[in-house]
Amino acid sequence: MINAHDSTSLKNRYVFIIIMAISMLAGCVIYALLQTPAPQNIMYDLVQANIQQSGVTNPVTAILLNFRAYDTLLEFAVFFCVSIASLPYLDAGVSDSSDLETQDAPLFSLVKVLAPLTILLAGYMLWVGSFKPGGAFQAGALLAGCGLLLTLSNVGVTRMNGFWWRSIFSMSLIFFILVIGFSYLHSHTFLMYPTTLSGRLILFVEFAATFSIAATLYLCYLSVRGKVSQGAHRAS
Amino acid sequence: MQAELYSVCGVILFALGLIAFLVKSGVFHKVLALNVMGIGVFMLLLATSAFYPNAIDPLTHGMVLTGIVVAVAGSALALNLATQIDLPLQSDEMK
Repeated sequence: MINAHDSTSLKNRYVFIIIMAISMLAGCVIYALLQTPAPQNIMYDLVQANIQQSGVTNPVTAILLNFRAYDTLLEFAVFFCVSIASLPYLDAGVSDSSDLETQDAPLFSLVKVLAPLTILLAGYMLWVGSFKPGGAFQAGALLAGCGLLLTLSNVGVTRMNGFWWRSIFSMSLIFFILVIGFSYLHSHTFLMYPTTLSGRLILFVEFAATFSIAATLYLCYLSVRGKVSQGAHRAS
Repeated sequence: MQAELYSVCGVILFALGLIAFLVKSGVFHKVLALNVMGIGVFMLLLATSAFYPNAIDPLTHGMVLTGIVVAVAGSALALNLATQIDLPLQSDEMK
């Protein structure tokens, strides 16, 4: 029978062993990183050589929505699955709003200024993505942040179970599949846009993706809020 | 030099996250530690893309951009699932 003192010292010994082993691992990885010669990367030259065909001039957007559009399609599918998996948790188990949500007058007046500004900034981000850093992910994150700000200052939470919310969650996947079908009819190759239309098609997909990403990220917050502190109360 | 600094910081973040993942007992801490590990990997990926003085490797940037958003969605899903099991969410020392 181990008493309490022995079990703490045993735990401390395990913690010590874990920290030593991981420090050695990190040291080895850092040594290996510093020893590795910089690899000659040909991707940048490839992208620069073919950027004229992609319809956009920002290389990151060209990679995400044209050259490696397959990855982005699967990512939208992941988002779709996350929104399906998070929807049942929206109302289950949350008795009231979390401790973070307040009704401060200064916060409210700040939100009144910030929320429209954030929406405007998200629109700018979406538009600028074709030729500068920006795009659907940044715009979606900004919109989700706007929703989070509104929730935290108690402006009002919509019920996200309705038909329109569900169609926003699935919008990016549906629109992307439509675009893929359209370009397949045109070029008879999977995921190859017609060159003259590719800029517009990319903007179309990004537009849908912005709202889907924003809604899914906001749903992620709404489904989790209040639960961690509640779980701590239950556990103690 | 800057790229090496970022790589080393990424590895250190990964190691810190791994230590917390193994040592802490609460599920909430484990999800947070996984996030820190993921951010370490993202930093490492970003550091490897700085080969050219005036340009970046867009492939790794696209990967990280995708990865960040998926990581957020994944941790929300993990927290939702964690609230459904009867394990304490936070470590003992946090109560």
